[in-house]
Amino acid sequence: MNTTTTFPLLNAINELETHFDFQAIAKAKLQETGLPTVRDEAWRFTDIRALNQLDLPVASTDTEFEDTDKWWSKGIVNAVTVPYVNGDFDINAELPEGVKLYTCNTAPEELKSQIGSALTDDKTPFVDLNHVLAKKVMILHVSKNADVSRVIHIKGITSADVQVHPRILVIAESFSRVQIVETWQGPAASRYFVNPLSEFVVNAGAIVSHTKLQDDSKTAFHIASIFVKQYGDSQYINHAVQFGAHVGRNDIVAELAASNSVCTLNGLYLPTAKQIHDTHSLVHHAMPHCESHELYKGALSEKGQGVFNGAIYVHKDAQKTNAYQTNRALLLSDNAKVNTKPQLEIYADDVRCSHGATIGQLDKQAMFYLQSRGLDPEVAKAMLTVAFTAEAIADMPEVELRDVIDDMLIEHFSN
Amino acid sequence: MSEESTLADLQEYTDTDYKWGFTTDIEQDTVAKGLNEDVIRFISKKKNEPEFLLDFRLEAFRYWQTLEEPEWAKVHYPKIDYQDISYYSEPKKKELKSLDEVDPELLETYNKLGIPLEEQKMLAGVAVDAVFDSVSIKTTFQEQLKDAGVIFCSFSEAAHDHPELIKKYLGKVVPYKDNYFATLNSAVFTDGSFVYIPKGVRCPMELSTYFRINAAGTGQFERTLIVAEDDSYVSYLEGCTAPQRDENQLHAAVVELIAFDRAEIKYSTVQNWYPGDKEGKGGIYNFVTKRGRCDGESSKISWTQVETGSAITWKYPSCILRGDNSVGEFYSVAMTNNFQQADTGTKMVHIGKNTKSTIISKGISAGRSDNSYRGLVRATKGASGARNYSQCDSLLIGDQCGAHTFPYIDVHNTSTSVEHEATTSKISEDQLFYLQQRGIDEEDAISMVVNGFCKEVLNELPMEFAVEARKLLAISLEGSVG
Repeated sequence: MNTTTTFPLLNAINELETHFDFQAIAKAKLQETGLPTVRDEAWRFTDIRALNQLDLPVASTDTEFEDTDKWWSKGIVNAVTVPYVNGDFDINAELPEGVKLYTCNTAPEELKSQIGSALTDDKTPFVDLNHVLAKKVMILHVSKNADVSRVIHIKGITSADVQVHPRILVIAESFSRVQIVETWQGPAASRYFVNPLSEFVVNAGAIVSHTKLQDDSKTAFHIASIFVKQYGDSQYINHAVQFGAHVGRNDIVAELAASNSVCTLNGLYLPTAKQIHDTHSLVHHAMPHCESHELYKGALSEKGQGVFNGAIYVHKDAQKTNAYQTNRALLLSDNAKVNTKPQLEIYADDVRCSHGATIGQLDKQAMFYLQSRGLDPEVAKAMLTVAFTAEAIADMPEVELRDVIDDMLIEHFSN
Repeated sequence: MSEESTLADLQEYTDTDYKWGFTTDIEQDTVAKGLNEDVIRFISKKKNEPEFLLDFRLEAFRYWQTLEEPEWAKVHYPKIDYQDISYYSEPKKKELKSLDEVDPELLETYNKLGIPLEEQKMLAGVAVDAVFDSVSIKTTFQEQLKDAGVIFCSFSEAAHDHPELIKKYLGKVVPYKDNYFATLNSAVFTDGSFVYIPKGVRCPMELSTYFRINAAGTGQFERTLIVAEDDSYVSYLEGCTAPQRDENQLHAAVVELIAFDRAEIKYSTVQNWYPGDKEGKGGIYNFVTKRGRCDGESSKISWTQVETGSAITWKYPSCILRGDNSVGEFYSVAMTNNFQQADTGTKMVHIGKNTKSTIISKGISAGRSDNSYRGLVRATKGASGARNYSQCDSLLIGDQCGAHTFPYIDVHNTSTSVEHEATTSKISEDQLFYLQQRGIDEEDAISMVVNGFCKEVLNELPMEFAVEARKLLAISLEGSVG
């Protein structure tokens, strides 16, 4: 890495005392190698120079914040909300039956020991940064066989001019069912940096739905790392919608560590103005008879930039793997850019793996059909664009939220 | 079919020895090992080159010293000691006017390779510029080509006879600063082919070169330049076999193609260099930079390659589609076995309007090999109406090998359509069963399925090459089953 580059963003770690070995290691690593730049393969198209140059203080518990309703708020009125404000949360928040909330100090040893257990070697430097600067780990424990009736809403709120490093661990015990919605917001037109690190441990037979809606300020930076570890017969369903932030990035790593697990990763990105929306997904098929499905869709307008890097890694023993990935992007402006790299690495021979990527425009025949029915070209275009993008979230289990997002899409593309 | 018999077959066929492994004992005029400015001056002097070529070489060498060897490719090999290679080697006898003067041993080598020069003259259609190590020995069909106005000669000859053309086009598609291996080649290239097709000429025959690496411990640094003027057409074939060697040999070639208005260049390669033995020892390191530029409107460049040899293949034949309505094509079969590693693919850069490109890549991995497709499709802002279709299929034979795809797609305008598809699978047991129950033995059945898998690419090859390519695939593949 370029040693001449300096990273004012890292000023926050220099004076900091570390309490654990892993923090000291992470700190030393960051001080040695710094943050990624466009010279790093995984960040080639995602220019975060502006972020690296920000010298922001880490938010403290008394930093003021604003909790305003957003366009999506009405989609989650029936959920149980746990606010995660500037990296801090209320340990006594009320939760539905079967779910318990802990942090490091209150969690029983067997849960505490699972912190970091879903992490793989595919960590970005931002994971290290989170290790050093995370203040309070949110541990959500779903007990065995629990069928959680209400959606749990983790409401991330960040204040202006700070950096925040939230850390979440969700442990779904065997045969439990839970739906988690994660949202991120901050004051409009403000500048801040939020770097959430989430781990999902999905035990045998458990079903976890994880929906993430990123609606940060359009001048903020949101770099998230999500690590999922799945055991036998489990299901993990992720829907990631990127709407806000100047640079929004999700690094999702799912490890299918036991047979018959199914992983679904769907996503939607809608960069406009000068936004960059980046998704890096990596599915490790480590054991036989697992399935993974991915569908990512993007519609890019103005000077928006979309980056997609989807890797499927089939390890030697993962025979009978079925992996499928699609990335489709629609360019609505000549100034928009898409960089796509679907990637397969396969070391087992009895597998079915495929990926497809398309970049293009709306189907001319479909446009003609709608216009021949008397619709204006603009209306026809908006209709088709909405239909195109809505497909990525069609299977979202949180139906009310999905409907709200659908409405937003209609509004977004009608202008 | 049982797993055991499958494995036994695999064993049997992966044990197949390299059938083209033989060496010819001829005296070589070889420069001492090592790379410095003196060696480059020596090469340039030896070839009696014009001043500008020496300057080009030295400039490249000075730049090369500032570079680091790239490590991004999915290939692993021990560090190459560039000072432990001899950068110039040529057979002693030179300036031959007729076949009688050619070293009989050399002719024998060609006979073993299946290109008897005597017969070549009679066989209409193919002119051969045979490169034995670093110096072109014999060029045939010169006269006929001359009548058509086509220049087809070795690079050194071209440097003497047509310095103005070399000066005008050398390094224009692959500049000496392009990449580590291209820079190295620019400094030390020894020979290669030069083709110039004048305006409106359709080259009367298919042009072909057989490369052959011979002397132990010498690298081969070929440089090929093909220029097709307006409304011209040329089909160029390149084929390679190499003798069996223990020591790894480095090959860093550069191929540059330029097509002007409505010109078409078809470049076909069959590569069967020594891939190393069953333990992965030895074999050729093949680091090649191939690039074509469609400068003129409606021009076309088509790459077809069948890669079965080399211990390591690092090769991305590319097209820069600058002219409006220009077309780029890439058809590839890459087959790896034992410990071979291939990282190959293409780049299609769409700059002109309504440019089109097609990529068909078929990767077959067997044994303990690794086979990667790495490609780039880019449509710049001005490339309105650009169109790309890519298809990358991989076939896995055995459970020790790997198949990988790394396609990069960058689009910067709204009217471009890019489609990319990739699949990975093994040979279907149903298909094999069907063929076998029709009385076709297992080996032939596999060969048929694999040939079918590669058919789209093999069909693109000129007749002579298609036959050779099928044979090569059969040798490398026969009987293997997943």
